[in-house]
Amino acid sequence: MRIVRITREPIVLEPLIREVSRPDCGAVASFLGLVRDHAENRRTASIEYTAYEEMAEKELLKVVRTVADRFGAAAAIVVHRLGHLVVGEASLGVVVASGHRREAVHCMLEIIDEMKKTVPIWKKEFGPDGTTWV
Amino acid sequence: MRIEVRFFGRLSELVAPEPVHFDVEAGATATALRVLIAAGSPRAADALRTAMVAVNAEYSSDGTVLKDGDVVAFLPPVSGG
Repeated sequence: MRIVRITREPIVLEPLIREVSRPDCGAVASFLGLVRDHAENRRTASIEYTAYEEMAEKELLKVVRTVADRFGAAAAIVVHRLGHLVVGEASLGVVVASGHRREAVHCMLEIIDEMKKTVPIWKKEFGPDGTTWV
Repeated sequence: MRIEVRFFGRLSELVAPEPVHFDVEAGATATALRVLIAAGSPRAADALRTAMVAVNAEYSSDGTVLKDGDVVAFLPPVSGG
């Protein structure tokens, strides 16, 4: 199973963990990327995420399939949220199920690293010091 | 031929937030489109220069020859995740 979702709804990990879990997997690695209150020397109050949605879904699925296949992961789900998010809200959720923990964790990390390079999603930071396209 | 062009990230503010249609010569490339747009939106020239190009929602190259009805997108460096 390799699933990606682009959503405007809050990301909740528990249902995703249940979705990837299977009896022959001893490990589920999970990650939530949250809006942080600072970036470099700028204070952040919120971030707006926008995307070329049709292409973002295709590119995200390419990344998940390529990386999950390379690590032999049994299942992987990535959810990216769009819209205006405040500090503490999750923009990204990743869950990976694998036989053992090392593959699950490394697969999850590499999915995140790779998706940050190619998936057409952009963020614009809002804060007391102004707005910045990242 | 008629090409639909979409702008994302900071380019959506510098050029246009909604798709724009351009009439170009048959055989035009993405490069030609990039030059045409920069001429009409000089303050977007720097951001256009560093943008990737996608044709019909697939990453493409500047040398790609466009066809009537193609959807071209200019994508600044991505920052998702």
